[in-house]
Amino acid sequence: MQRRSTSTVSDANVGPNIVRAWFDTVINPLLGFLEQEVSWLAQENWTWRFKPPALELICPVRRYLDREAYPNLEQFQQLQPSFARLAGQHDQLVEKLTQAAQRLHEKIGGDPDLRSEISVAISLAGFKNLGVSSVTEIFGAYPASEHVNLVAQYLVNHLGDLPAHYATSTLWNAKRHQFMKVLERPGVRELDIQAKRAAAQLAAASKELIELLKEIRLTLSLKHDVPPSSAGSLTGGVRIQ
Amino acid sequence: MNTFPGAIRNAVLDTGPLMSALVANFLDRMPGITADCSSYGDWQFHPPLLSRDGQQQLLGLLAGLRDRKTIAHVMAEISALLDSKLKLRGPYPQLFWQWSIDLLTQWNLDERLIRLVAPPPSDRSLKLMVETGLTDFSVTN
Repeated sequence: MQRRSTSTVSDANVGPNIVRAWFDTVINPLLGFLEQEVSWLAQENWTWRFKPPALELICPVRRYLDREAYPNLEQFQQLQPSFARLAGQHDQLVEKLTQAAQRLHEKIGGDPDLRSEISVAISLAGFKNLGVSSVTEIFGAYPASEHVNLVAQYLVNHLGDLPAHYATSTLWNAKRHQFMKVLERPGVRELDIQAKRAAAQLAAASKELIELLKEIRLTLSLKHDVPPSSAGSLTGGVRIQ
Repeated sequence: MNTFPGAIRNAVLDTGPLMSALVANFLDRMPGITADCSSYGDWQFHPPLLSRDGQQQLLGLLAGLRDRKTIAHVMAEISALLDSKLKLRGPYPQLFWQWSIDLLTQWNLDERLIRLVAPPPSDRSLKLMVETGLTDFSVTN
């Protein structure tokens, strides 16, 4: 991969205070989130949620940061055009994956065979197999109109077993292999592949962005004698004790 | 699903257990957390919830209840605790609520308005009301 120059940062105007602020509020939080993002994509879990429709844990760069950090992000983008370009590319690919996941979800949600399979599973006859006595024990307070959408969401995200404290685990953990066959059906399969391709492009862009951010951080750290991490700094936007 | 079958069937969830459950659920869904988390931000779990196993048992216990209820002031207290204790940043405050709403929907948690009780019928009730406060007394009676 071609090495990028990080010399666009003006030596005259950028000092250790600005560098510290970039590290703590932009670069380090972004690195944490982007590494998580790559991990989700590797698991083929797009973190899709149908209501409201969005990717939960895969966001445009700006949304990963605190609102208070936006001025620092804007300054960083202005002085680091290579970052601004890659961040823009990343955000476009997030949107592409979001649209691909939404199309796949709509297709699965409209699949008559899946609807039929779920209907059978949550019928009186199905209750016996699942060891429940009512549909509320499977879907809680989710209305009937959302049952298929919820299962479709799990399919879009290629979910494994759900933890037992989720009511839907009763149905999903027992039937997910059967439901997963929907992803092989003509029309659905193509959309699943499209989503996987969009995810692969996004993963490549995210990795490139991670590499660039680490490169910039190293350059700035050595030039201004500012350690990459300060005590108590945030990683991935989260403080864990 | 009930970790303790035959024990508790119905419960009115007060702030402490419900907040503990929502934080445990949040940590369970948070990427990158694999170790035991006895605290988060300024939120401190109490024994026996210091380990992941303990937190999972609490979630299992509440999931196994037949009927769960809470009241509006509990949800208000949880909102306040979220700001004052968890100190979430970036996209996480929104995710906390999304995941909490998903869990509470799955649990079919019912929020009830309470009727403040008429004057306690006995000295014993009056003593209990003084000890527990009017809200909790009304919920449990």
